Amino acid sequence: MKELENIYLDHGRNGSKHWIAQRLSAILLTPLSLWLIADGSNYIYKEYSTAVQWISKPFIATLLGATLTLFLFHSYLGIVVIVEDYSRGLLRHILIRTTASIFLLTAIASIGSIVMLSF
Amino acid sequence: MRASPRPLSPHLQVYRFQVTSVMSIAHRITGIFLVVGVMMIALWIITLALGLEFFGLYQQWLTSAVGRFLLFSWSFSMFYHLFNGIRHLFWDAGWGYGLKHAYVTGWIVITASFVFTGFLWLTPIFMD
Repeated sequence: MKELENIYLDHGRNGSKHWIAQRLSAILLTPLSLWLIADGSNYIYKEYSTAVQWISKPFIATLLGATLTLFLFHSYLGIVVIVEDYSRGLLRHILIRTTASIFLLTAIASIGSIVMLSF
Repeated sequence: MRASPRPLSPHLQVYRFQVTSVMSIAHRITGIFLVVGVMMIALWIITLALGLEFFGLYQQWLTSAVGRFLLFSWSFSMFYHLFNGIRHLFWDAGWGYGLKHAYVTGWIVITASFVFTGFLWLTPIFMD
């Protein structure tokens, strides 16, 4: 846990790991985000039952869960870079913790929803 | 916690406007906007799990002018950040640093972003 904190909550001391994590998630998100736009755009404005039918297919649920998790992870890494560019000290610390909490909660809520809808 | 003696990043007004600098700043701005978008998608999934009532309300807002504008901007940000991200990956691999390459790939990214966003929003399914 401490190790994980050091890598992801303070990239100033672990720049290369942050860099690699950002690039890896970017590479994985390249096909996944294109899939989400191409397929998901067909359902965003559809009625409730059609959307549920789409999301509850195991293949779609898995792909969507992976895409969303990577999106939130990549977003978190990006926001941390901005926070570290423009703040320091205690404020930086609070901002990074808050950002991490928001993304983690969003991930739990949305992955939980996908699981609820598909099982 | 001890205050860091290291300097902060220079603020935006320091940079002279040119395609390369504007594109770099746009990468960050679209990145921030993508966070808004990913939250909107997460909420779409969450309201789907909450049931018809919540989903209906949210859908109504997504269909409004504000909702459509946000989704439209989000799709543009997505294409821009994705294509420019690929440009960044090529730089990481050591390719495309020359001034000419930076400009040519930059204009390709800008053009492709507009074209892809246009095609996406011209599809009838998305305009229902």
